[in-house]
Order: sequence, then C-alpha cells, then structure tokens
Amino acid sequence: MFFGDKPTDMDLVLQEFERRTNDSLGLKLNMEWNAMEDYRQKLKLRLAAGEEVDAVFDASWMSLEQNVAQGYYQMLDKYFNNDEYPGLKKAFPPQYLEANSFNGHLYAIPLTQLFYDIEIVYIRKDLRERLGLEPIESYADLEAYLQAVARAYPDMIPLALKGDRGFFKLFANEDKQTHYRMAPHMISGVGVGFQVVLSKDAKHVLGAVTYGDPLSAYEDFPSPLNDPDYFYGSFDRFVAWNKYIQKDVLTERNPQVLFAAGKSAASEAVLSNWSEIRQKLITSIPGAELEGFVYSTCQRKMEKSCIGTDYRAWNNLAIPVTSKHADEMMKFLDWLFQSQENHDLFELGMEDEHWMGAGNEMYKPMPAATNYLFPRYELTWNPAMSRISAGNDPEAVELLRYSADPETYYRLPLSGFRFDPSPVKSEIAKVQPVSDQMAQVFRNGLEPDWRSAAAKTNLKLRSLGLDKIRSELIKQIQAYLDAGGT
Amino acid sequence: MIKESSSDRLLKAIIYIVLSLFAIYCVIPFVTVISSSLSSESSILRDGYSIVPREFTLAAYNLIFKDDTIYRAYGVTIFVTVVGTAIAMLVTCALAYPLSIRALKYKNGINFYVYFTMLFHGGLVANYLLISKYLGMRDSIWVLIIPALVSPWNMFLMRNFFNSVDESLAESAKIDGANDIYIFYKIVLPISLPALATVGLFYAMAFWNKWFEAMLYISDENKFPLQYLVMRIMNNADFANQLSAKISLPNYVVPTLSTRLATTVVTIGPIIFLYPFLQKYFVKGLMVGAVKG
Amino acid sequence: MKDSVALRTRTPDTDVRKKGGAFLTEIRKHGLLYLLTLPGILLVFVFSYLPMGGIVIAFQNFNAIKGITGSEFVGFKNFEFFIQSNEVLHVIFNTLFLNALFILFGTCASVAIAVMFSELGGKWFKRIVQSLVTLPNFLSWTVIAMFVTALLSSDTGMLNKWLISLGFEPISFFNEPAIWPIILVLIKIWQGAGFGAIVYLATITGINPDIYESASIDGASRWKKIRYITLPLLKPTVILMMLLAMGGIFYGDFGMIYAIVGRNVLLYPTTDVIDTYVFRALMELNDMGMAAAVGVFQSLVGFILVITVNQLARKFSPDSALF
Repeated sequence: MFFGDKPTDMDLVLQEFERRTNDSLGLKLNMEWNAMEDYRQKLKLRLAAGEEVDAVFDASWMSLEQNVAQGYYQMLDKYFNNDEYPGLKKAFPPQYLEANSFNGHLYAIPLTQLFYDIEIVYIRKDLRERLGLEPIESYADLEAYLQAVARAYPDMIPLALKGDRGFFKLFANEDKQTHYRMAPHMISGVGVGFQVVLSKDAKHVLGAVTYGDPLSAYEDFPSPLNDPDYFYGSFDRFVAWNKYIQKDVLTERNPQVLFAAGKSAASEAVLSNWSEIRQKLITSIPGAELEGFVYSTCQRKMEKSCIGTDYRAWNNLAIPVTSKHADEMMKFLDWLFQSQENHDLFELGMEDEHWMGAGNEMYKPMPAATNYLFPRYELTWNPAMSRISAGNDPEAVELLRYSADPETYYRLPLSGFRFDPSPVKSEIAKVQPVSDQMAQVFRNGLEPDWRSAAAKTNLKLRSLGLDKIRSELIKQIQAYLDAGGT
Repeated sequence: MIKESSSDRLLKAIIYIVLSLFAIYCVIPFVTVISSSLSSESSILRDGYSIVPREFTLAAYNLIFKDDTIYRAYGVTIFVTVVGTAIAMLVTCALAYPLSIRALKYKNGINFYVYFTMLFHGGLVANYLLISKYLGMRDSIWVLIIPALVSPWNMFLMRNFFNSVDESLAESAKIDGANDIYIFYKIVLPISLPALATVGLFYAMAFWNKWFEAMLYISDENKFPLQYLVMRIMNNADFANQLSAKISLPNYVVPTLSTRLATTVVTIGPIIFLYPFLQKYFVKGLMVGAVKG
Repeated sequence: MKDSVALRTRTPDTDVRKKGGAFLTEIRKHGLLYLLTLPGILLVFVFSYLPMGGIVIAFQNFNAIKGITGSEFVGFKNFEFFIQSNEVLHVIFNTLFLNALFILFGTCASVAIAVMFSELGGKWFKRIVQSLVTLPNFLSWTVIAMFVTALLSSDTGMLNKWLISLGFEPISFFNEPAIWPIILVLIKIWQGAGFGAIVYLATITGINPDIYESASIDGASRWKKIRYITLPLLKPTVILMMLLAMGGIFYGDFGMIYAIVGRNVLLYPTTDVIDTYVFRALMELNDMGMAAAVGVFQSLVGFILVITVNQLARKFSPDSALF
C-alpha cells in the first residue's frame, strides 16, 4: 500500500519482474496507490477492519512511532542478518538496523538514500553578479547580498522563508554533539523541543531544558552548556535578520514559488529541492541562474565527521500483523536487494528505456523517464544501492556525493532512543499548541523581546504539565542508558 | 393595471444595481480561475493570476484529460448523480410528507429520531467497519449512493415546504375517497415543484461532489467518481513535480498551480447548467394553483 | 341510533386495550403515511444508528488492531487535554462567536438576495444573475485562500498596492487579529449567500400571489409589501434554517479557516476555533480516541442548545420547530 500516483509504466516493470522471477519466486505483486493526505487515516482504518495488507509505507513523519507502539506491525528481526536472506543481509548492515529499531527489535524496514538533506540558502546567481558581489562564503557575505538586494530592488523580498520553518538551522551551533542533544538535533516526538544534556561519560542524564526555563535549570550543566544562550543564542540573530524576510512570513507555505517567480532574491530550503527550484526558476525568468549557499560551515567545506546523525531513516516499509504473507513479502524484498540489477529495475525502471547507467554509482535519466517516476523512498531507497542521478547540476552532484559518503557522518548520542508518548499523552496535547505557537514566532525572529516572552510562556506550559513531560522524558532516557543504550 | 409609484421604481432600480454589483463581484474571481487555468505555469509564477489568460496553453487540461479515465469518471459521476438524486428524492419526500401532516401522532418521535443523527455520529472507524466489512460494499458504485439517500437537512427542508401546502386540499380529496398515497402522489407533489427543484438540486450537488467515500472504499480505477479522480491528479501533479525534479529532466515542469484551477473548472461545469434549467420551476403561484375556485 | 349502541358496547373494551388501542388506531388511521416513512427510517437506522456504537471510541484508548471491542476503556481521560487546556474557553468562544456571526449575517444576506430577486421581472437578467451569484459556492477553500492572499498580502497584495498608489500606508492584514472576524464573515457571505438564497427564493415562490394583488389594490408600496407580506411569510423557513445551523454551532468551519489562516499564529486569538486547535494539538499524537472525545463534546453541547431553542420555537412558530 503506497501513496502517490501509479507510474505509467509500472505494469511494464512488473511484467519484467515476473518474467525474471518466474522460476524462483513466482509471486504476483498488487500495488495500491492512495492519495497522500488521507493515507494515514486509511491505513488505520484498514488495520481496524482487519483487512489483509502485506506491506505498508510508514514513516516517522507520518505515524510510524505510534503504530509500532500500538502493535500494528510484525517483528522482522528474524529476516535480517540471516543467511537465508542474503540480499537483505548485504543491504542492511547491523548498525543501520540497530539505529532503526524500537526497543531492540526491528518493526519497519528503513528506506533512505542519504542520511541527511543538506540545508541550503538558494541564491540568484545572476542578481549577485549584477550587483558585483563575490560568491557567498559566509553569513557576512550573505548579509551583504541581502542588503545589496534590498537597496537595489526595493520591491523584492530579500529572503523568503516558510512560515512554520522560519530561519530553521541558520546560525545554529555547529559544535560536535558528544554528550548532549540540542538543536539542530533535538529528540523528536516529545511535543516540545527539549535540549538534553548528559554527563560527560554519557551515562547519566543531567537534565532537559526548553525555551524560557529559568537560569537555575542550567546550573548543573558543565560549561559552556550552563549558559542558555549557548542553546538559544541564534534567536537574537533571527530578530536582527527579520527585516530581510516577508512581512507575512507566517502565512507563507511555499516560499519557493516566490523565489522562482523572481519576487524574492533568496530562499531557504534543502538540497533535494535543488533541481525542482532551478527548473521552475529558469522557465519563469529568462536569464536567471541558481546557486546554493550551504550555510553550515563544515558542510560547505565538505569536511569529514561533520554531520551528526542518528542513522534513522526518514521512511520505512512495514508489514502489518494482519498480513498472512510476511514470508513471501520478505522474500520479494530479499530479491529486490540481492543485486544491483534487481534493485535498479524497481527503482529506476527498464534499463536503456528509462535510464542509462553512468558508472557504478550514477545513472543518467532518459527522456522516457517521465513514464516511470517511482517513489523510491516508499520501497527501494538504500544507502548502499541507490544511484545518484548524473542529471543534476555539478554543484549539487558534489553535495549529493558528500551526503552519500559514510565518512561525512558521526553518530549522535541517544541514537537508538525512541520516546514513548503514551504516559503523557494528555499533557503533550495540552502543551503542544501553545509551545508550537511561541516557537513559530521565535523561529522567524518576530519577537524582539523573546527572552521575556519565552519565560512567560514557560510558566504557562508548566501549569499545563510541562514538567511531567520533562521528567517522563528523563526517566525514559535514563532507562535507555541503564540498559546499555548509547 | 396599477401604476407603480416612484418610490417603487426607485426601490426596483436600487435592487437592480445591488444585484448587478454583487453578481460582478462573484463572477470576477471565477473568470480569473478559468483564465489562469489557461495560462502557462511560469506566467502564473511570475505575474500571479489574471483575468485574461497569459501565455495561453492547454497544458493543465492536457494533464487532466491525458487518458480515458477522466471520461469514465464523468460517466460514473453522472450515473451516481442521476440515480442517486432520483432515489433520494423518492425516499426523502416519502419521509417528509407524513411529517408535515399535523394530525400524525408519532411525527415528533420520528422527527427527533432523524434529527439526532445529524449531531451524533459513530465516527469513521465504525462507519468503515459497517460498510466495508459487514455490508461488503467495497469497490461498489453503490457505496456512493445508498448511504447518502436520506440527508436529514434536506428532509427537514422538504418537510418545511410541504407544511406550506394548504391542508384543505388534502382534506377535500379525502372526502372524495382518496387515500394518503394518492393524495401525496397526485396532488401534493405536482404543486410542490419549486420545493422539489430546490431539494433535488441540493441532492444532485451532493452526489456530484462525492469523493470521500470513494477515497475510503473504492480502489478500482474504473469506478472513480470525477471529484476524486481530479483530486488525485492534482495531488499527484504536486508529487510528480518533486519526483521528476530529482531526476532533473529539462523543461519538465508539471503545471501544478494552473492544474489546480483547471480541476475546479472541469468538475463544476455540468452542475452549473442544472440550476438555470431548474429556475423555470421557480414560478410564483404554482403551489397554490388548485385552491382557487 | 346505531352509533350510540356501538359506542356503549365498545366502552369497557376500549379502556382495557387503551394503550395498544391508541397505537393501533393511529396505525389504522394513517397506516399508509407510516408506510411511506418506512424506507427512510430503515436507511437512517442502518447507516446512522448502527455505527453509533463507535462513539465509545471517545472513551477508549483506541488501538486499531484491538478494534472497538478490544481497546481499553479509559473513562473521561481523553477529554482531559481539551478541558484542561489553556485555550479551551478561548477557542470555544471563537467558535461560537464566528459561527453566530456567520449564521446571522449569512441569513440576512441570503434573505435580502432572495427578496431582491423575487421583486424582479426581467426573465433573462434574473436567470443569469441568479446563477452567477451562486458561483463562488463552487470554489474550494484552497482556491479561495489563494485569492485572499493575493488580495490582502502585505508585500504583494492588490489591496495594499492600491492603498500605496493613493498615498496611504499599507495595512498588514495578516498580522492584525482584530479585523479577521469581519474579513471571515465577508468571505463567508460572498461564498455562500448567493447559494443560500435558493431556499428562501423557493419559499417565496410558494406565497399566494393573491395576497400581493390585494395589497396593491389597497395601495401598498413595494417596500411595504416586502415588509408586511414577504418577510413574515419567510419566518418559518428562516427559523428552520437557523435551528438546523444551530446544532453545528460548536463545530468550527475547519475547511475555511485552515485554508485561509493556516498556521499563522498571529491570527489565532480571533480565528482559532475548536477544530483547528484540536487538529494542532493532536497532530503528532494522532490519537483517534482523543479526537473522538472532542467530537462528542461538540455534539453534546450543540444538542443541548438545539433542544432548548427548539422548545422556544415550538411556542412561537410550531410548524418550524424541529421536533
């Protein structure tokens, strides 16, 4: 069960699959394609009615954690690291699986190609050159560009942001996180953003803090963590840069449209948007050209061990407990990951029709590729096996290669930890809307006096159960550490 | 002929002006929608929506009509609308008429019975279980029709219209020996044309716009109703945009903004023509014709 | 003579069989009418009453695998987050306030439009304009939201561009919560008034034209006719429509508000309704039991309200009372 549109040539690919596996697997695959928005609900309804579905897509950004906690999916441990399933063994090394487990068991197959989607501020190269500026290499350069744009083109919005994203990871602390988890790598699923600090040996939880906590909450932390500005200092920069963004930033749901339409000179997004933005830009504005400023310094310089990750995939495939064909499904997946050939069939389509190989790791899309746009993150994405498209801009390809290189990453503490919200469900539901509101205002730098606003909100949140959530979080993390988690 | 006083004429003139202004105010966005659906995606990105098409293109419509499924969807929806409205009107009027008879003893009980369901629902899960598991209506066109045959809102509206029919008509017919069903069918219905037209229109629109049940219960492409199919095309255009961008094909920008507007045009077209057609039943005096003499 | 004998011999039996007798008499008298109601009653039973058991989800820690019968019963726990929340009174107020405005102004606008149309003669003008004013009803809220943004945006909106050209300061509409109830009402009227007028128009056509004739003979002006004939005769319909709308008064117009206001936190103080608030609160949790609990709350209070107003309606205009 997937969401999206059935690719036009899906049947061709399926036929080819059946042809190849007639003697070995002899399976027929039935794929159901649903509309994205209703997918989450439909999934639950299907399960509630006990219908037989053999594999479903789910993800952390959808309903994966809740569904696992409620026991919807089968445990898949026995299929991995098992010689009877060589394909799976090869494509999913133990470390990868461990990071994607829940309480030590694997409930959903992780699907990702890269472990991080690098954040970029997209710039109008043509404008920059017209203004006589050098390529942008630092925040100072970026600010110079924005100021120049504001002077020369007063009708343009210098920087366009998305309302609920705000400045996102701009100006974020770039220190390597060894014994704490803070922005930009906060623990997710807790309703409120908590920064968690562990002891230097990473065996005890020293505390968890959030916006507006009084100074006393930071006392027990080793320097430099005992200063709230270490965690939230970037908010001051947001306030200072607020003059460069849209006045109605909070209603903005699609800043790329502003950028591609030439109404803004820069916009913040991620690497995977590169091609799409570029295409839109050059078709609507003749002469426009795109370039990207990777705003994290070590990412821009493409240094090793730069990006912290928990190796968790953003997409997964799970097998519901209502399925009676789990074995067959896993055999299919095993086949899929067994060889580059098998994998490429589903991910890219028929060779020489939809795509052409370009070396071992890359591929070139062919004109007929529009007939087979398979959503790879729903079935086939894999760090070891997915190819990178050579059709991207050279700059983007470099960054993609960098993202695909395992040496780029270092492992964050508490990688295997997953928060279970059920004991504090009511509190989270009470706290979330309030904190979310405040967070949005801060993220866009809309409140110059954010410190006192945060303190006020903090008191409100405490009356709604903030501390109950906090202590539950600490309790769960400590239990995780005590059980040997890292 | 009674001559119109000048104050009457003034009032009439004001009415004409107000209505015309309001009508223009309503039409402009609509015309903009049509024009923008015929404009190129890049011109919309660049200059926004406009009343006249810019860089005329049929790209959005091509996307929607790219294969047969849209024609089949039109067929499905027309079937559902015609059959659904017909049956729904029968059942609803049959339910509403007795409730308009003052002498009916249990009418308030039935009124309450129907009204209660307007407010209290069992929720999505219960409905899903009932329809897909116990009634086995999955993947059947009838799932779009049967559950919607009695709309409490429409029923109460119909009852209200029947209320205004003079009871003396029914009584005189009873004295002549007619039974209730005859009265209902041969006397009350024919003079309730504006009411029938109104409620019929509402039902027709509801059936025409059905998509939620299709989303939940229908997986067979051939049975997709129009609204649902168009919604999927819309969502998937957005979706395909992201995907195609990842493989960066030159010049392949899926027209998403213009498509969204084109879907509006494609789905409302036919139903708009129904209302003007029904207006001929909105003629004064129809409901009281038989009482005279 | 015959009758009185029959009456006398029937009396003792009727007393004994009184209860069953009343029911049967009623059926005998109006049997065919009840028969007519049967298909409707049956359909409502199957599709509305059978699933009603699902309401119990609001009181459960619902788990899709365990189903309705197997999920754990948790009493009123699911209601906690809503009742104890910071914003509960505020969003309830917003919901009621906005809905009351919509009902009030919407009805006035629809009635006005209907009355205006009924006063016109020109056939072609009438048909065309009548259809035109219903057009906005067919646009989806997403599309309407696009227009609203294009109109009111602080940086690029048409209204602000026009203000600037006249020499005024631009207004930051999307940052000012106070004016939004008005804006929302205007949008709602634009979208629904033309279409809503259809019902009132149909009612007006049912009025006996003789009444108007005799009023004209008495020398009544157009305006007097509207005031003393048309409007009073519309009363039952207006009351019915308002009663019907009242049941949903605790349900905010999620589609409209979410499309137009979206996640703009600055506007929440005046536009956040129960439905949008709960949507945000449960976004990550995705808990069906809690969502159902709020729905039960909304239905229950709406129900109590309707029963109360219905009793009033019964006194003053018994025909339009719901039950």
